[in-house]
Amino acid sequence: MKQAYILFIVLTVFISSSHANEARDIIQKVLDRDDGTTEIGRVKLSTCAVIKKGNKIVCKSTPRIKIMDMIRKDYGPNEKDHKTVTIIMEPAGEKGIGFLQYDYEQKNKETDQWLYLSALGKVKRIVSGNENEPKTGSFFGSELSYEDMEKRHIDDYTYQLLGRETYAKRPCFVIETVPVKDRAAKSNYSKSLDWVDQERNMILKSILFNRQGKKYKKIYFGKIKEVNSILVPMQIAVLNLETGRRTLLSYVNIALNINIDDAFLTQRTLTDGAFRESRLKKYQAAY
Amino acid sequence: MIYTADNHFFLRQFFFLIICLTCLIIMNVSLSHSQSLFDTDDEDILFEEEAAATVSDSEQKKNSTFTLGYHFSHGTDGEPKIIDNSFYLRLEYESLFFDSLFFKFDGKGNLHTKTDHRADAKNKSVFFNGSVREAFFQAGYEKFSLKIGNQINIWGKADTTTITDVVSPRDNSQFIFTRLEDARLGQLMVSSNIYINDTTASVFISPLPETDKEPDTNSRYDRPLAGSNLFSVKHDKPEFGDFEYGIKVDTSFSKTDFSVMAGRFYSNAALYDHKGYYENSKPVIEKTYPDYIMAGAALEHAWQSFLFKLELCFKNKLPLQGIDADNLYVFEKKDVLDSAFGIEYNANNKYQMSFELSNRYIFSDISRLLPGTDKNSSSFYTVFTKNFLNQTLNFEYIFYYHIQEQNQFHIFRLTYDLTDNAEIQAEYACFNAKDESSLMWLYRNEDRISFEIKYFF
Repeated sequence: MKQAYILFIVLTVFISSSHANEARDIIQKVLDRDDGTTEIGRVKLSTCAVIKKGNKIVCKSTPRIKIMDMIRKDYGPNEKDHKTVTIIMEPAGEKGIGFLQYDYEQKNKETDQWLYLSALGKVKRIVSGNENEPKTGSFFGSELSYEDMEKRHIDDYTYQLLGRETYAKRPCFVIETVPVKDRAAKSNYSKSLDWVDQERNMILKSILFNRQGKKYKKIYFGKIKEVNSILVPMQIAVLNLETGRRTLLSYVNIALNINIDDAFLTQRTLTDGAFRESRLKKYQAAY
Repeated sequence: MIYTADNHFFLRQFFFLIICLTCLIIMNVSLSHSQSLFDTDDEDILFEEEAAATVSDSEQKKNSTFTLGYHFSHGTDGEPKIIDNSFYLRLEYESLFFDSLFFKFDGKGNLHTKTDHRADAKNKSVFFNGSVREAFFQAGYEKFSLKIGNQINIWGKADTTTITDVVSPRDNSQFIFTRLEDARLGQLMVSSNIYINDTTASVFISPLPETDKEPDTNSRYDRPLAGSNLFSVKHDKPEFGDFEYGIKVDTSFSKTDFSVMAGRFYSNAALYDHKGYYENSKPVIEKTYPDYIMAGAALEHAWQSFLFKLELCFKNKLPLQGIDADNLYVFEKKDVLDSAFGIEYNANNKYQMSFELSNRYIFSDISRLLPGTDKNSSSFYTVFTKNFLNQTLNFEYIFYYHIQEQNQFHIFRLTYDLTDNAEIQAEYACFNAKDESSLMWLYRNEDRISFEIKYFF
């Protein structure tokens, strides 16, 4: 009996360990999936409070819409450092506001951010908050938080393969992701469940649990389309179960791997209208 | 351990169960149910609602933005009670021509109704005025850009005090109540930027310097010069050919942005200078804008949730208002050191706070300067902002305190986005002036509430 018990424990440990390794490998493939060295896109963010009508989720009131041009270029040996320029096109009252952001793969290296407000007439460095605490702000007033927009560091989490099932007519792995102690201290989430497309190494759905362990958000990645030979979810829906609000992020236009000058990912783009508009015109011709 | 037939049977059952479980897990049985095992309240209909998320014409890039606004303010102390009662239309237009020539226009027309203090000052039932904030052409090249026209040129890192930010004049016609988007005035200039990696060198030359806009005569915030009925004022504004010019170099390294700048300028604020007497013995006072030179530096450094700001500027022969032995106005040129130190704090987007402490130090004797002028003049400024309702509601509190004069004011401001295209703002401002020789003493009864609505299209 004792031998059987030991065998059971060994087997269980072995199986869960091999599942953890397999899960980590799956997520590593997701993180390593080519998303293009450069990206230029016009993004529409639509946010509203929702109600359920039958089996449909619909907006209760007129959604708040933001439209922005986003230009990203990857740097570094692993192309995991990113420089991004975001220029708001709509609403009209915010038109022309520009952001420049540098994100780094290196752990604990804080993001650099600059903001240009035409009313202020100058570029201003901004700080987003303490990297060691959970960030509470949302991305342009949407239900996407800045944490949702960050790319994961593989070592910040432990992974468990819970099973396989079909989601959105695609065979998926279902993986539980739990932040390690250091990461947990600065995350808004205690864990997530991710549905990973087995063949395409893409997350199709995530459920995020808050720090108390309750379901907090659901993120759906849909309308997957091939853009310059790279698969891109053209729509990302975020349903906040706590606030009853939903954000739909849609790519109105997108082009990947086009040649973007390094000079475009600098403060010059925020202030130099001639430079910005002439380069944008050239890049946007790739749509 | 002693095995019996019973526990042998149990052991076999147990092994069978383990093997079944193991097989089940290893095989990772693919679940073909339509209902997920892991998410029992799944919704896969989120995309249907906006499946046709196509771009409408309104989402295509627009070159122009109009802002239609109404502004009302009501004094809580002074008379008359109604201060602002006006409408405005603002046009911001920008477009690219010939792939490298950029044009920008920013202009505004105001219609002040009878009860507005500006219409009242002109004794008109309706008073219309307009201004062009910016109108310039810009050509952009690989490492170089050139801008010609009416433009605003902002220097420095400090947000609340004028340390190195001396190029573009300010609109002081509404005292401290000028909106941020109207606060600076453009002037005719040619400016150019040269870009080398993370460093930008900027130069400008202005053949016709503009000066600060003062309150209209007899309007709410007009405060006539003391004793102005006893002398005649002659105006001496900078003319075409009175060149202002300057250079600024900006660079960024790691978490620090650094600027150095220098230039020759005409004072944006008016100074009064006794120029003699008329035949009837009435003194002649000239309202003038003398020149000076400056050199300064500014830096910003980010550390975790904090942004530190430091700005220093030496102004050589800066004209300051003085008074002569006959108690008549003269300007005195003094060397001064202006400095500011500020900290901004972002509480992980829960709220933001900023503090700024600034000081002006006058190097030489101040006995001939206007009474009440201190050798050190220091002020403290703090701003607290917090967003609510998915960033559609913003609360802002501003506190200003002048250390030597012990004057202060508070502003409470709420801004709400009614829709994507409409915004309302309510504000309360109150003053507490203690120093009778200070400028703020003259405005001590200007507490007010105000309301503004804007529609963007």
